[in-house]
Formats: sequence, C-alpha cells, structure tokens
Amino acid sequence: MKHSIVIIFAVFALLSCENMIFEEDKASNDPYVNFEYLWNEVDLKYSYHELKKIDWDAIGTKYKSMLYPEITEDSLFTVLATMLKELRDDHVNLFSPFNISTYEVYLSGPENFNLRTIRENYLSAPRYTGAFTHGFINNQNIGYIMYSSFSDDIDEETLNHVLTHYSGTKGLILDMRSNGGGDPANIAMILERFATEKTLVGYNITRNGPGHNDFGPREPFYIGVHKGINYNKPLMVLTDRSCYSACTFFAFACKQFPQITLVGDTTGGGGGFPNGGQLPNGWTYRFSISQLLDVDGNNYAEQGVAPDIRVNFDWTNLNNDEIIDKAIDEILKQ
Amino acid sequence: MRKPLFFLLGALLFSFLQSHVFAQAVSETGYAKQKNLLLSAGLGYASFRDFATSPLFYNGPGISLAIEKQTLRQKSENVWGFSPLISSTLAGIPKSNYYQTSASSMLMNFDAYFQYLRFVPQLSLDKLHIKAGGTLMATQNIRINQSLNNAALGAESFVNLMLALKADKDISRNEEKNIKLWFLNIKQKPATRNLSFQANIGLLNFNHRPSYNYFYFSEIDGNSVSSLSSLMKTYAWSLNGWRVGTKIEFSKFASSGNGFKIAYVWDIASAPGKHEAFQMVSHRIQYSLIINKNK
Repeated sequence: MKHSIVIIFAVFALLSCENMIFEEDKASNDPYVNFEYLWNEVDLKYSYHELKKIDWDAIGTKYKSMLYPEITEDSLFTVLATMLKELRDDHVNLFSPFNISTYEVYLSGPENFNLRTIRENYLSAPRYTGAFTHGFINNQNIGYIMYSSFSDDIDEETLNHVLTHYSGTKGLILDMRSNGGGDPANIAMILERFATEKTLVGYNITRNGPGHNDFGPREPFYIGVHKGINYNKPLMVLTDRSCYSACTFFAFACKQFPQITLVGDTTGGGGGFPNGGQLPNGWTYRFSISQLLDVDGNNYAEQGVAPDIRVNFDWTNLNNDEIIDKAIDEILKQ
Repeated sequence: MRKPLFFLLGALLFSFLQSHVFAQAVSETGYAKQKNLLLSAGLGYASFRDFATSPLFYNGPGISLAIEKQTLRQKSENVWGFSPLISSTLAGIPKSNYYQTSASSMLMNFDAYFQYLRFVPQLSLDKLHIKAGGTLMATQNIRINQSLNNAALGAESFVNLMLALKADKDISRNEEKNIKLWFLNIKQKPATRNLSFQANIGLLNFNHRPSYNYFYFSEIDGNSVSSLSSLMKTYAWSLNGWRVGTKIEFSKFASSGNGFKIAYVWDIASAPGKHEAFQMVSHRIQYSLIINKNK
C-alpha cells in the first residue's frame, strides 16, 4: 500500500511538472493574435514578395485596421482571406471549417476547354485506363490522351498499356487543359517515357531566411529515361489557364524536349511549392515557399508557361476544338 | 557544450572506480548474473507541439509496446530495448461558438536504446541499491496530419546521450503473511519483489529537424522519385535542447526467475533545431513479462 502511494504521488508530480516546463499554450481565438501569426508566417516564409513587388508591411497595416475585438469568426476569415488574396497566388489558401479562400487565377484567361465538344466530335468511343481517358482520332493515326489531374496516380502498367496501344500512330496529343495539378512525382512518371536522355528541366529554390529574397541553393530537377516502353514520336501537349501547379511544372519541363510542343493558352502558374501550417485558432493555411527557375535561371513559371503555338477555343462553333485541330495539323506536318 | 561532457565523463568514471574499489563487497550483496527477455505492452498518452507547422499542442492516447534484453551482473546491468508508441492525437483548438474546427495527427514514436548501469556501493544500503551509468537513446517520430497539406508528414529524430541514475529497493516478502479482509482470509506467500526508480538526464542532445521551410514533396531526380530524399535534404542535425526521462517499476519474481513488471515511464524532450522548436512528452503504463533466459 505504501509503495502504491509513492508511485501515484510520483506520477502526479511528473504530470504537473511538464506543464511548468513547456512554454504557455498558444491556442487562441483572439483575432489580433491570429492575424499577427498569419502575417508573420507569410512575411518570414512566402517566396514571391520580391518577384511580385508585394508591399507586405503596407498590406498588413491596411488589413489590421479592419479588425476589432468583437469581430465574428466569419468576418475575421474574410479579412484574412482578402489579405492573402493580395499575394495573387492560387497556392495560397486559408482553410476554415466553413470556408476556403482561393485566388482563382484561371479567371484571368479565356475558357479554352469544352469536354462535350471533344466527346461528341473527336472521341466517340473513349477508353478509360487508370487516370487516362483516351482514344484514336484523325482516322486512327493519332492518339489522344486526356489527363485531368496530377492527383490521379499513374502506374507503370497504365503507361505501358497506353503507349503500346498508340505505338503505331504518327503522334500523340496529351490534353492537360483544366488539370489543376497534384503530385509532381507524376510529372517524371510521364515525361520519362518521352525522354531520350537524362534532361535537366529546371531548378527549385526555397526560402531560407527572414529577408524576402533569402533563398537556398538551386536544387536541380532532372527527368530520366524510362527503361522500357517509350514513345519518341511528336507529342502535342494542350494547355490553358486552368493548367496549374504540377501541370504548369509539366509544361515548363516540356520546354526542354524538342519533340514536345505546347499548344493552347498560357498555363495558370503556380511554380512555387506550397507548404502548410496552422493558426492559433485551429484554421490552417498554405502558401508558396519556393520558386521554379528554368535551366537559364529565368523565373517565369509563377506567371504561367506560354505555349509554343497559341490557339483559343472558338465558342461560336462547338463542333470543333480549335486547339486539338491545331495539334493534329502540327503532327501531320512533322 | 563542454560542461555536460565533463559531467558525463565524471559520472561514468566515478561509478566505474567505485564499483572496482568495492568489488569484493558488491559480490556479497549484488545480483547473480542473469539474462532476461522482457516483453511489454501497455497504454500511453502523448503530447507534442511542432512550431514549424503549428503553435498548438496535439494530445492523445496510444498503445505502447516494448521488447528488451536485460543482463544483470554482480556489479552492473545493461539493457537493449526497442519500444514503439502509436498515438492518435487531437489538436488543442480553442472552443468556437460559430463553427468548431478539429484537427488530428497520428504520431508514431519509435525508441531504441542501450543502457549501462554500475552498482555504487558507497551510496547503497542493504536493501537499497544505487546504480549510475548512461543511456544512449535514439528516437524516430513519424507524424501524419493531413490538415497541414504539404507539411503533412513530420519526421524528427532525436539522439540523446543521457546520465542514468537508478535506485532499486528490495521489498521482498520473506515470510508467509495472512491478511484478513472482512470475511476473506488472504494468504500471501513469500515472494521476491523489487521497486525501482530511474532518472535519465540528457547530456548530449542531438535532433534532426526541418530547415527554415519544409515540405515533403518527392524530389524529382531522373527516374528516382523518393519522399525520403526530400526529408534528408530539407532536415538538418542540431546539438541543442534537452531530454529527461523517468521510470518507476514494480517487479515480482517467481522462484524460476520468471516474473512480471508494472512500470510507469515518463519522457519529455525539447528540440529547438535550427529554426523552430519541437516539444514532446509521453506517459506509458506498461505490463511486462520477464522471461529468465538463463534456463
């Protein structure tokens, strides 16, 4: 009995001890605490202050003045979300249980994709293999492959099947329009099937200090050559303003492959990798912490990757997809 | 930096010299050589805060397991052990009267350790043995919190060289004892029992923490796509912080040398890393089977 008392006493002594050792709990619903926390995190870690000429101090002053002690959670969300929108970046979001803030860069360009036009006039009997919707077009001599999201994983078997299926074609069209991004690992999975040698496609630099222009060393991105079934004939990659993040990265990497042509509109951007974090009130956020540079050190991915051939969808004629038509012409020319 | 090193070396030297000088006396009162295998299971409670991603504490219950190989000699004892604690934690989010947020994190905590203790007869009594030595503790945490997007995976490591002090109290019952509890007459047979308290105090504390900014997107490098390579590139080792652990154990042995043990284990650590700190504490209550491997 005496021993049990000693043990119980020691356990409670240690439980209370840890509360004294650690700093105070930072959980808080105070609007000023949450504002300061978010503003500071963006100030210290966001990667595009300088490139986008953002005066973050002035933005902080402007939005802090909108707060008041009794502000509702809904209004606090609006203030914080509007402040983040000043970063003009779709990799910047504030997540609360009742709303998510977005920038919606795709609204800055025309809509260039109509699935119904493709289904009714090009792909009469599509096949669905893994993440791909695909089929022969133009009298069976061109393969059309639609990849709608980089969040849809790709595996070796799927790529082997699809590329074998179209091995006899004159060229391929890879439709990336409306692909909002996802896992960048899938970029290498696809592109290595079209590479003939290990290719440097760009560099990543990550914010590494409190100064807005503090970045770590360049980290190279390479695309290797797949040892197996590949496709080395012309590839047309279709892009639009909704091609964002990993999709922009894909288009950006394509620039280093001479047999690949980008057709359509400039991509939406999203060259920086976003991380994630949490506010003292439990809401979460993310924002870009890195930049993507091309092989010559040029920094344009955040504004979007321009196509090699610019074509827009003609909404007065829904029987034709001008972007696919242009891609077919280009393949047949080569 | 130098002070803890001198302290550690001093303590180890002290315990080494003491045990040699008084070796003759120890052999009369110390353990016979015995090898034990300990298999443990229990319940845990973990709490952590990773300032790199959140200012909030995450707390929650877990399941604890351990396997240990223990060698007891007349003058020393050593333990090799591996102990995972898998916990499901919830963020300590303040109450909302509008729309309550919640966030959870799975915490997998793997401890591997080696402990060496020597008997210190000068500080010991007939039924109270004091031991001193060191513990080398390596811990790998793996945390998954989907609400943190590309920072969803946390994987900090700790390596701690710790000063270890242990007090073993022999509380064996040497004679049969009868206890009358209302109408029950309980007969308690003689038994070998032990109550011990151990404290580990970190002297050299290494931690492997994220750099200024981190995320766990896979690196794209040729054909190889590896999340691990990303972690290795964006994390860095630091020598800072602290770690303290205590253990209270009650053991009971049968005449065969087999037995059981009930233990409460407390572990607390802070790892400032190079940029933002990680803090964690765990509590475990474990039941162990002690298997005598001499047989």
